Amino acid sequence: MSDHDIESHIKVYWNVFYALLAFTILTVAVSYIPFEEYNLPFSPMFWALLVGLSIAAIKGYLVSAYFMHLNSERKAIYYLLLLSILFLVVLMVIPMAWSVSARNPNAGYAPYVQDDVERGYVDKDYYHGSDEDH
Amino acid sequence: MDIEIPYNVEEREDTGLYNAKLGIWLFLASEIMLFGALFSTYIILRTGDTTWMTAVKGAHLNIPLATLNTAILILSSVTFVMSWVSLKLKDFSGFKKYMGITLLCSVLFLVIKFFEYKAKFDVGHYPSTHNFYAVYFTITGLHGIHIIGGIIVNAYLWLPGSKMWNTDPKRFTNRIEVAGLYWHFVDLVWIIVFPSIYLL
Amino acid sequence: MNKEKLNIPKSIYGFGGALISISGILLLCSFLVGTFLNYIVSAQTLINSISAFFLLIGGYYISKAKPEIKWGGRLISISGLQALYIYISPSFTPDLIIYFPPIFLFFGGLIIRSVDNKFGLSGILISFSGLASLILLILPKIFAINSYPFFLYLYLIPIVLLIFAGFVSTCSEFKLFVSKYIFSIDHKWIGIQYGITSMIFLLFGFSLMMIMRYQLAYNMGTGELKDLISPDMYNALGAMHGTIMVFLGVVPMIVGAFGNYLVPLQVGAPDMAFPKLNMASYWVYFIGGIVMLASFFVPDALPAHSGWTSYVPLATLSSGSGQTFWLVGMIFLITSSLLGSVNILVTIIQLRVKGLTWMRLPFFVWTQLITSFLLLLAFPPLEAAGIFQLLDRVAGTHFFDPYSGGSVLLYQHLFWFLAHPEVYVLILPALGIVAEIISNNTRKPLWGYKPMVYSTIWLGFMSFIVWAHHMFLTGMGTTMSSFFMITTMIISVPSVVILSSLFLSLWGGSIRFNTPMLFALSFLPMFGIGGLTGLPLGLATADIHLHDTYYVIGHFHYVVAPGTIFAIFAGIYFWFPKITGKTMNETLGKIHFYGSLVAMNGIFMPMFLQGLAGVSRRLSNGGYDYAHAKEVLYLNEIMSICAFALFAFQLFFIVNFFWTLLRNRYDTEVDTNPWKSNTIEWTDTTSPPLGHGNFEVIPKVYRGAYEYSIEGHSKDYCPQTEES
Repeated sequence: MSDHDIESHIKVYWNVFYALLAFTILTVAVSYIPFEEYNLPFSPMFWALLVGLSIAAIKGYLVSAYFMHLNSERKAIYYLLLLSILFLVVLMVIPMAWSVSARNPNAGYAPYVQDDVERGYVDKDYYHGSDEDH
Repeated sequence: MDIEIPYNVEEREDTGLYNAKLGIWLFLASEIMLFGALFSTYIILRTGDTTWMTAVKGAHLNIPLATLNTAILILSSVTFVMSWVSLKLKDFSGFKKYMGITLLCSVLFLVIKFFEYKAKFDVGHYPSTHNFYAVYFTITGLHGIHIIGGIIVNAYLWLPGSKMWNTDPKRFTNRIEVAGLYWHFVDLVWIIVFPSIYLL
Repeated sequence: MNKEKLNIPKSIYGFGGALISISGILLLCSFLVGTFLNYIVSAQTLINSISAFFLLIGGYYISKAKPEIKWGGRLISISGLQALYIYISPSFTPDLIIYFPPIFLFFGGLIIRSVDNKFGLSGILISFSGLASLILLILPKIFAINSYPFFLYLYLIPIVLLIFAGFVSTCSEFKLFVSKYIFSIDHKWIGIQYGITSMIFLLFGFSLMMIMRYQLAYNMGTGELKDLISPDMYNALGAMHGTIMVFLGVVPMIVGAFGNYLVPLQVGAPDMAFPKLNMASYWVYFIGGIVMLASFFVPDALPAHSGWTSYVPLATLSSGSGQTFWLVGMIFLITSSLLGSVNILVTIIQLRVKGLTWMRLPFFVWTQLITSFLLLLAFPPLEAAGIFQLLDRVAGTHFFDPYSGGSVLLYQHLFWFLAHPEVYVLILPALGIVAEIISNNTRKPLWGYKPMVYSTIWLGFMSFIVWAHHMFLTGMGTTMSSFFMITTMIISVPSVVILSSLFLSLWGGSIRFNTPMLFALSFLPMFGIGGLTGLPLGLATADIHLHDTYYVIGHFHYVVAPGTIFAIFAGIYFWFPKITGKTMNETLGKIHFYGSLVAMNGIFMPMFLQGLAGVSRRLSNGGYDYAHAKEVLYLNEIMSICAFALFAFQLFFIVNFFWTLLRNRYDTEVDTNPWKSNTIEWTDTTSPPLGHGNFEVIPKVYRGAYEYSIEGHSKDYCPQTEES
């Protein structure tokens, strides 16, 4: 990188810094928005998560692309990180899906158990507990 | 008895990387998995737990202080980049200045963390009190250990290690770049930790 | 790169160092007095004060040695002075001052290290000693672990470091020996270190199993030999057998020993990409191994006895510190693996010589590449799970405690997310070793090299999404179990491709039946049996009957024992001439082979029968209490006799190994390529390879690794680095 290139980069770095600060303040401000009071299609938690994590993702992108020079790095590194994030998502999603399906008494049982539930041999709350327990 | 390892300083043509850079990116990939496992634990323990929000309210998390901490860490990140830029521009004193600020910010981060932890311990909130505290202390604690590691490496590069600038400047610049990648990753993790633990 | 040699008057520095050593020895005495003589407080204080005094004087002499390190010595002196003050006047000491001596030690050591490279080792040891003391002082303030008996023993660490620091500074020959043989950064010697340590652990793990098999054969709840070992001890042996064999034996052997030694040679590199990191990896593994072994010596408690899987809640609730040692040991081992895998990956990607493109790499290097990726990405979740379980045990958290909002299944998910890629780590390098040996001994190219490479990559990728086939019986719904069943069935395809390619490689070859080839050939059907018996386990419906039975034990032992371990033996016989310049004896090797093959099958084949009958794992009397096990109980004795026979045949190997190592060469001229192989490590290096940089002339590669029996050539092999 020539000196001239670097000089222009300095400006970029400081701009990214100010942007990150701005997003930090934004994310704190957004956390105070009462999503429950608006009549939104999904749960308020969903919106809080969506907005909060989107801002975090943007900040993360800024750090990795500019400070860590991921933009100017060869594709291979990019794919490596994408691969690990993919596995990460698998690690997060599968146990989540598991516990969700395990908590829904209708979706959770293996067929032979479900049959026994329907025949009345087994109480439907026996394996997962009743809804009041959760 | 030093063997000359190729591509330690100059980049290899087909990969475009020198050894340490590839090494640190691979290490960061494994760190993604580590913190990811922690976050996935957080998600699993929190969903469906009706007592979670009560514990959070009881924790009295100091959000302004945490925001300040976030800003301090981001500042340390940008000053780290500036120190690397100074080296590229052959400005050694600039490097010293910026690296010093980075170290100062990181120590400040830890000091604020110390007070945060102390506030919790003083009211008798330990990791064993509720799973929220367990997750909180584990994630921020592991992050803190990574910061301490970074401080040790950066301090070494700031003081005794900087002698390499006189003998092998390109290699030293590479070292700073590689240490910078680690430091930015630590910052990145905090950027995600901050909203998910403090705000949500 | 010429480092300037500082002319430190050795005598003064050494004298100061000697005093620090004495200080350390005194601290050790004080520790022993306190631990074993019931805390005679005044004697301890007296010894501690004298020790601090020695530290004070030692630091003074160090500071006098040379102007540049005067502050190093002075900080050590101040540290000693502060410690003296603390010991003499405890009642006036405010709390914070306890932390000062270690901090001063830390910085003092750093200054010594930074100023001088020759004696820097002592500086590093001093600062680590200070750091360790500091951590040990802070840790009880955060976690309530003061009551744990093992915690006291950790105080030995800074003391021992201090003793060594002083010792090192006094003796330059000791330093040379240390840097050449103990803290070597040469990948070949590190590979040998890994090999020696892991072979000792393999033997130890095997011995644990033999105790268990004796119990199973002759103490099935009857007779005078009742309670040879208690059921808890049986479980402890079983858990430690599994852990030691997998994490301390097989993986360090195939990745640490074979990988470290051969990968740089096979890609033409002078050493690994990060030699010092390599050394650090080995020593962290060693410490992890020591910690694991130490769990056997915990007073009044058993070692870890919750299975090698350490499932919660049993593991969290097990009493005594054995399980805690297991967890701490695992954290060290995982760290060692991570560092080692980064090293291998960077070496393969960056340090290949000119002409060595991806598709010209020996298959062994490809398997090491994918294995390192698996180790890199899969281990961290287990590290997280280990940390959580450690906190649950030690700090009273409730990560896995369902009564307080925790999740028991979470542990299983995190554990198996690693442990499934871990089993591919166990098998892939073995496949690589076998491929090399088969192609070499059939004198023809590997059949289907490209499909094998792509299958390995596919296998590596898929191994991350099959883990829950170990959890079919945890109450998952049909959606989840279908998903994992499908991925498990898919993952069998690439392994079949690789195995079939190896079988097909034999067709039309002129096969040489030397010892490595015998082991490699037998690997194929043995791994085949292991793999095929895995299929019913992968089908959720059949797994309902077979889960946690002896069928599973038979399946995975077939893959690892007559599978990977045979490949390890094959590799040792094959590469022994390269490492030492001498070839192992063929007759002893063949006896070793035939005996082991028969014994292995004798041990593990009956396990399928027992498993199908429904005999569960981890039963300390082998199923004696269960009616469904009655008919297959007689097999226990057969299996145990075969196990003892297996041990007996390993003696042939051990004798062969040492006898070959220690005898003088029969011929003065060493043949550097006795097997007439193509790969770089055989054709371009001496036997053993040069200590400094491996190659006299950096090789250039012109073709792939399997060019055997080319038409029109005079030789039946064509080395990679040969021009025409």
